[in-house]
Amino acid sequence: MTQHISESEMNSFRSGLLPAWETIPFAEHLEICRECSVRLATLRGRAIARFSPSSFLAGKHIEYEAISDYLDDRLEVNDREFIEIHLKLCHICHDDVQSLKEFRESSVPEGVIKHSIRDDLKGIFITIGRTRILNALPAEGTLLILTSLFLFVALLIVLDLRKRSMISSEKPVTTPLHQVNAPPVTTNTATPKGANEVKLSEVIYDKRRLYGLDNKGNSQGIDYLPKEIREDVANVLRGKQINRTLVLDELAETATYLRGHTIGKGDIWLISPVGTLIVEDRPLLKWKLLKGATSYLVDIVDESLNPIAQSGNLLSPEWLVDITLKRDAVYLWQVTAYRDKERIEFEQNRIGKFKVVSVDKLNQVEIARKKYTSHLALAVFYIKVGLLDDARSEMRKLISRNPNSKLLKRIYRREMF
Amino acid sequence: MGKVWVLRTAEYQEECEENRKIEFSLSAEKNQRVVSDLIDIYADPIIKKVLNQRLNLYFNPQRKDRTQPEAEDLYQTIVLKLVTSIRNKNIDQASQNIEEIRNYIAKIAHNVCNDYLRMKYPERNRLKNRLRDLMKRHSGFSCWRTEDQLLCGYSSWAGGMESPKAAMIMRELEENENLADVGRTNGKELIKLELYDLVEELFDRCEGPIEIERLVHMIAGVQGVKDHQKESIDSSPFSTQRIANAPGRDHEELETRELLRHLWMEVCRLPRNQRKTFALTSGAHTGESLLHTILSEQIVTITQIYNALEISRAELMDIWDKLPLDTVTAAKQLKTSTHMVAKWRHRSLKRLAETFVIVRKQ
Repeated sequence: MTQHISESEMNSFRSGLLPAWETIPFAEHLEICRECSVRLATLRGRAIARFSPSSFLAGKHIEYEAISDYLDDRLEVNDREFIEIHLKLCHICHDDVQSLKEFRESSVPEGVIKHSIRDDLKGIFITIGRTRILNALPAEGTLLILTSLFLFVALLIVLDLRKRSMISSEKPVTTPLHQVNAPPVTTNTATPKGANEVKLSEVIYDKRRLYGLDNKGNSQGIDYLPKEIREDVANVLRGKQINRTLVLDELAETATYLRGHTIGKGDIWLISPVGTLIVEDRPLLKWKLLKGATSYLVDIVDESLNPIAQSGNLLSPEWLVDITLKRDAVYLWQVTAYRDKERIEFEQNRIGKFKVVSVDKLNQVEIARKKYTSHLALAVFYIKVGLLDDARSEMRKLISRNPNSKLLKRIYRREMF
Repeated sequence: MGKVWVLRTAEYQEECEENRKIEFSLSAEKNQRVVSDLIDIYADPIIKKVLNQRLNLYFNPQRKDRTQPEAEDLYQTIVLKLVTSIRNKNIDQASQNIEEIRNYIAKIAHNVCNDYLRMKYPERNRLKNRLRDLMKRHSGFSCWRTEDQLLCGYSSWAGGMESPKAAMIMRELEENENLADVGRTNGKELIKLELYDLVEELFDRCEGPIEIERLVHMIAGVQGVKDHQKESIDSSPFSTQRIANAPGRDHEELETRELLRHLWMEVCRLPRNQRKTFALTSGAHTGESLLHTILSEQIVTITQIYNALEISRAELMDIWDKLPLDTVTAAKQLKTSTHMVAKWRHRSLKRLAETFVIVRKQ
């Protein structure tokens, strides 16, 4: 190559985008042509240098999977040492590993980690591979170790199978179940002896706990709940209806005022709050979108039909009440729909009725929210005090966590409709 | 007669060499065309889309936006990685499924974004690791992949698509910095929750799976995770990743060049096999090989590379586009087993790392 290198070629050479058949002749030319070499040096001075020597030593950053295997001591010797070299050179990865290590130590008790037999065996084989003891032993010794290992593996499998069969056996229930396979808890994290031997007709995951009904219809695993709510939760699980507050009947009686007898087409369907007590003194009122409606107007009146609040022109089917409602008082609300500024008339006019809880009740609710670490317990509490929307919300969360639970769906249908 | 025969043989060999050069050049030109087509037709829109989605970086048609200097830098890094990978993998548009190529490009772009985010927001990356750990180690939670997303949720949701509510809740979190109105109830209570409970609360509110990146974003917002850019490999005393013309840049560049020179000297001191293995297999996290860097930065001349690696011009030409070599290719090149390559690489790294950790401590 005799011609000088152009600036654009030099840029391409530097960026690494040139193929070998151009790069190498350019490099050879640069070696003998002082002029081009100086020009490249000048060009380099204007560009951004992107590489540090340690990045060639450290290589790629460590991803979560490798960090996890490293902390679990599940890596081959070489992989482990590669990681250790990288950690010496890379502050960020070093801190990543440290952070995950601290997180594991601080938050996850050993009892909740998924330990499958496959993982255990993998760990054993890796340890054996790491020690490389087999290479140093005579053939007889190796055979003996392999035979012992085979028997040990067989024993592990048998124990695992036995454990699985015990879970589904029908032995009588004597111990609480609530911490079986449960996620971490702050107190009493040990699994009760014999807890695995209980067979539940249905298991419910609730926050960090597991409970359900056994074959005889007895509730299991709810002993952790405070006494005052435990009996009610047990009753609900057994199929009994909860005694609701009397106020609800009063709210329900006039929750919906109908001018006609049937729900007509085009009727505005009020979603919430309807026939319930509520905690918020500035509630969010919701109704179903009405086909053809371009805007809505909401009116709130008190029990004596005195106007309390009126929304502006609303484009979506909800309104966050913009004044603070008085506590321990009943309110009625109604939605008017408009199509291009023209009021839409209905055969029926729906009126929602709700009550904002008193300050005393509000305090009770706040205590309960802190105390009951269970969606079901909270739902039961809410139903008892008349906070039906909150109860519905807790039940939905529980069903969402346990989408296949027929028991929960039964409870929801029974208590919410 | 003998002399004529020798001359003819020499002529024949010259002709063969010439033919080989032409063939090589044609094949290289074809490869170059394939690479350039791949970038223009497929890679460009995908890279821009990924950078926009992941980092909110916008490219104007000329790709010159002075307000986002990192956009162009990241774009070039992705292209460079892509070119290296394409050359190594010998990807050909005609022989590959287009969808596979697109996925491959997207994967490289996502990896570059991951590295960038990791550098820029190390605390968020740590939060993500903690969340992935929570999903992995608790029987009630699960993490799974759908298309190019990593989703998480209750185990009973595994395999499902992301809940449409997830995006809505995230918007609410972004809009309500004090969290008072998030989800309408207990907004402020979220801050007090432990990670496990907070995750459960967000799953409940979303009523379905959440993409892990979104969950990280939500929790970082709730817990007020703030990132102060920390020193990394590229901002360590060896670093040169600085904006052009920044004060002190000349000094840093000189220092980096000096350290690169020092690295090469240490490489040359390694035993033959370790030296060759390290030089041929080493690359930066951006994908650029050590040999290319030291050559383009004029740390060494091409002759010095030939000598240090005891390699001919033709041999280097053959492997140049595949640098940094993977273990299998390096084993073929060094005529040994992959096990030996791994061993030599490991030994060389250990030796060099010790030297550089000492330099760093100084």
